Amino acid sequence: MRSLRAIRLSTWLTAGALLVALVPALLLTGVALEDVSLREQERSAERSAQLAQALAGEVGRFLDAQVIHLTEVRIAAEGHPASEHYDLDDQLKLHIAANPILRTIMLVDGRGRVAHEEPDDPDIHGTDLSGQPWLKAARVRKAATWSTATISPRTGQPTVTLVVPGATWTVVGYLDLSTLQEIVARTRSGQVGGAAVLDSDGTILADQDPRLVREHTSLGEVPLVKRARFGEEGTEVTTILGQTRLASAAAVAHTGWVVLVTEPVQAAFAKLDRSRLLLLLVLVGGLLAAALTAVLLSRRILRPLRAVGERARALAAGEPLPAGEVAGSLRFRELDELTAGFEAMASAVRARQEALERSERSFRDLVDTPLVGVVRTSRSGEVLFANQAMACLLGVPSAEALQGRQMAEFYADPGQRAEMLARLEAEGRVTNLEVSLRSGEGPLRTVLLNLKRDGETLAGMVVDITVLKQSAAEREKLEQQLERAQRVEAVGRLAGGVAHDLNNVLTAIIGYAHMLAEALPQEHEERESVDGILEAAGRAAALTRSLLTFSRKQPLQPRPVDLRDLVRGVAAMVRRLLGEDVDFVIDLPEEPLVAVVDPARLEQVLVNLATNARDAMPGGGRLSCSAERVALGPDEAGLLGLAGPGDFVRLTVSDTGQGMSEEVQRQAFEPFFTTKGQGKGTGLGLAIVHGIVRQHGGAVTLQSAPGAGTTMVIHLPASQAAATALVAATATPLGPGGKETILVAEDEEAVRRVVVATLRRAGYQVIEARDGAEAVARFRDRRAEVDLCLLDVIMPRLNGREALEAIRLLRPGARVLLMSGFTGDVLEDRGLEMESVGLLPKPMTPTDLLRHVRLAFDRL
Amino acid sequence: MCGVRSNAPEAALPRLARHAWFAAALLLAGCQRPPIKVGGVFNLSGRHYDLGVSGRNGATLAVEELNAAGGVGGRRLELMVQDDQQDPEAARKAVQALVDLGVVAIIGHMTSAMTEATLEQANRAHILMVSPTTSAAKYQGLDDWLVLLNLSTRSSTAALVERMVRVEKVKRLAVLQDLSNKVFTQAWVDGVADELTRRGGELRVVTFTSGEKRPLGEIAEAALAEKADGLLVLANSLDSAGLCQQVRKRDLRLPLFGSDWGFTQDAVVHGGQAVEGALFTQKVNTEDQSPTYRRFRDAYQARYSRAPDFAAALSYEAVQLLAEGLRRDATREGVRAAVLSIGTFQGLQGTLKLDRFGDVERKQFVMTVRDGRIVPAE
Repeated sequence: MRSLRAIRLSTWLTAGALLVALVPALLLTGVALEDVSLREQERSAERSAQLAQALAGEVGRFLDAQVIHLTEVRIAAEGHPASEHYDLDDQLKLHIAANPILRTIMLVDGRGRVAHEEPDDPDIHGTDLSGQPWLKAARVRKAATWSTATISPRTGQPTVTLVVPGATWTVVGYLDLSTLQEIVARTRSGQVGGAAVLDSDGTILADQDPRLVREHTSLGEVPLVKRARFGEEGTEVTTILGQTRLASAAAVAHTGWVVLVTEPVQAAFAKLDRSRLLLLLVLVGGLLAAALTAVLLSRRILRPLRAVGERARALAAGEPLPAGEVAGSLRFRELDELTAGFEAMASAVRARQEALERSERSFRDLVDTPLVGVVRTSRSGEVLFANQAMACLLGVPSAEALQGRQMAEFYADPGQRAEMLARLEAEGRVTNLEVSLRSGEGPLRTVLLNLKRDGETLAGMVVDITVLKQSAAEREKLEQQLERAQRVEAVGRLAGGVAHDLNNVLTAIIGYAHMLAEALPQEHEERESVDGILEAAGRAAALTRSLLTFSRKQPLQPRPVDLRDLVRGVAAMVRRLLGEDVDFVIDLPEEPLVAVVDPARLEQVLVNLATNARDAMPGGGRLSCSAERVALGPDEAGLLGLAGPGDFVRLTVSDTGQGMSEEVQRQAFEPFFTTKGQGKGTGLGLAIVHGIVRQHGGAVTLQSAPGAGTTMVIHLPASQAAATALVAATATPLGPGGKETILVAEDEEAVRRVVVATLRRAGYQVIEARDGAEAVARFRDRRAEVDLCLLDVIMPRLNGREALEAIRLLRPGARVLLMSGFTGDVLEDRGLEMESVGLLPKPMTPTDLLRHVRLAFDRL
Repeated sequence: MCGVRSNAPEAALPRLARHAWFAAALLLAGCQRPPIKVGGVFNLSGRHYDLGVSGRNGATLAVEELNAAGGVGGRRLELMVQDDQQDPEAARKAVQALVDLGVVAIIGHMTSAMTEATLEQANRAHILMVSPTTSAAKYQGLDDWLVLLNLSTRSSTAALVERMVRVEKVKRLAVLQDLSNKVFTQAWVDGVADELTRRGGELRVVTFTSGEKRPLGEIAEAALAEKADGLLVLANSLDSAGLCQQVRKRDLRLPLFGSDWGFTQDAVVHGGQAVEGALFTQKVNTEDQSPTYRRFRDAYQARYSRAPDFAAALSYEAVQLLAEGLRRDATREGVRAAVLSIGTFQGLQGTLKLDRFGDVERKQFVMTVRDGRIVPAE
């Protein structure tokens, strides 16, 4: 494409040279032509004008002579009275004889009648001339007046009437203007030009062409003639009788007549045309010479360029360069430099090509060689030989480049080299010695050395096991994670069991302590001790609740929740918690992020994380909380320990605090692990977070480094369900008790006694059962009485749940309130309709018990 | 500065552009449609030249105006003029020359005598002649190649005789008849004779030939010898003027009459007091003040520095009539039928009607000379 569009340099050069020659030549020719034209035209015009003026002068003098002549007649006639007319006739005869131009001469009287005429003509004598405009004009002007000319029908010659008015006589002469024809006939303008005399109307009176005179041809419409009739003489190129002519007009004095000198414009400017032709010939000749020179010159200039082009083509095609001199006979320094440069370039290209071929061979060798480094060094460590694999391993471009370098510079740990040398010294060889080697700018390579001493040199193989080592490290890390998870799990189970038993004890303690407190008057001295028991038991209850939470034994009340609402809802509390030194930044998306969660539990997660963050930022900082919906594939889900792939809501909580060391990170989720001082934290914060998240089927991970802050990332399974509104929990007032009958099943004697006592004090009827089976039996017996079943979850024979099912068989829709400090798997595994069953967590205070019972009556 | 003032169209351009102009003009000329050649045959020299020159001038003005307005059907008209010299032989040669030049039609002749000389020739060559002023009655009502813009002598003589009998009470009329244009003058003599006889008058004819070596006074005396109470001069303008002068030298009161051929402006100039009060017919009222005629008169005056006479006006109309025909058919064979199909036509002084023979019907004016001017007789 490009070669098609490109213009040939030779064309350019030729055109350029031509242009250089053409422009000044054209300009010069133009100027010269203009100059010559101007001069020549001016000369022709001047000549023509002079001729016209000369002719007008001659005609004028001729006419003036006639005026003088008739004026003499008038003067002579004036002296004669009318009676002496014979003398007058003689006078007239003399004048006619003396002037052949004068055809007829008349003396006209005051009335305009012809009184005397010569020659005698009865037709003229006595004729009334008063109607003649020339007579009228002459009498008005009182001066010699010329009529418009007419062509005499008799003679075919132009005739004019001259009138010289006088007091007595007016002299009128008919003049034959054929003399004018003679004057005109001998006038030549240039080779073929001529002259004409026109009367005041523009009618031709005399012309070289007598036909024009005969036919009364008028040139009155020619502008030049029109102007000349009014005295404005001039010269111009104009159209006369259909022919373009150079014409000069001159006025004849006193008459309004015009003398016109004309010449065909071609003839008038013939000289000019010759000059133009000559100039044109010179121009064409010059241009031809310029073109020839340009062509020759461009060929000469282009010859070395073409040669260079051919050599370049040969070079590109890998052919041998054509022999012969590049420069032609005509040499130019610039072209010489170009060809020299080209030759240098050609040899450089050749050299580079050879180097390329060598390099290609080396590469092929490399590909062909096994990826095991082979090296031979001197005893001092200088590389004598190495294969490409070795060079590659050490990040050196080529085996050649490696030669002569010291192996010592590649050891990451000089100690490992010392060990290698020591072993060589001791055993004469080294087998599978693991060392770290530097590899250019890349990461360290882990290799196995297999060397043996061979005379004064060391030779052997180097096997790169970096990838293997990395895999092993990865594996070790995963194993550690698993172990940690198992440990947390085990601790959780242990804690759950302890907490359950402890809950029962605490329920009893709290219950009796309450009763004791109620029994003692307010001012009793032991009242303080009872309050101490209640307070301590309350702290213990809180501790067991935390443990249960961590061990995921706390029952959940899950429902679809938009986590954005949840985060926004807890934000105010978190801000209070963080204090003024820490910024709390929330970044939530536009779309809902619904997950099925127990909102109270999840709020606890956020609060715990915020608490940790605050403690990590004693000097203030920023806590940011963001949430987004993500889709996780099987790999990602597996790495996080999630059940499977799917959509998740990711909550990210980051602080700008002091961060954690690797050691701390490893133990962070373990219960009772704390970096805070004695008495400042329970060590359960993150453990509870972990427990709650796991209980929701999610995962929590942390990223941190000392000084770089901590980021906690929580993944929770996303739900498609519509979120339910979060309702702020309202305190339900403690009911005044009631008269209803309650079936209480509790295997722990102490707990049962406290519960029964509390209910009875509040006015309820109570039926007691020691386990689930007994509870079902009691219900069967007294089903009509029982308004509510209060069942412990974990009981011998029939547990709470089994008992519940049995009771519901007996009376569907029976009100049931379950009590538990540790639900275990009892409630979780099967789809129990928890909506119709209340749950009373243990340990509980009598107040909690009565409120839940009253709630059960009101709601279930 | 340009050395020579130039009035030719190409010369009006800067010199350097002239070559380009020339090339463009050549190109345009190549593209331009060829002009329509129209012949003009007028008596430009000889004794009756005044009619011919006026005819040529009127025709030329009409052609120039048509061309300035874009020509005929986009083609220019080219008027090719010949002089019939008021000589039958010269007239025939002139017509033949025009036929050979390829003209599509001819404007002319200006006198009946010349029409007489070439009509057969035109009929043979199938070349249309549109004569502005030929009026001899013998050409009326013929299916020939002649179209007449002038009224027949019959209508002129009828109008004039009616006037001379009714107002001037002429019973016995002397006539001076120029035989050099006998076709015309004889038609007048015949017409006047018929009309006058019909009205109970009588006629005495004295003939002469223009240009003969016979004093005008003698001719005038011959007419006066008839003892008539009116004299009709049938001669060209110069002769008419001269004869009137001679009559007035001898008889100051004899009523004088003339034809439109003889009583042109030249007759007024040369006749002076002698032609004052003479009555004659004209096809054109040269004193007409209608916008159309004034526009024509002003253009003619500007072009020729003189007022137009009836011959100029009729020539002008003849060209316009022919142009109308050429617009319908610009071929030599077809233009005759095209002109004959025109029917009515707007002339310089009202509507003209052209019958199927190409004879025109138009107004007739009886004019007189008063104070050196030709005016309608009351």
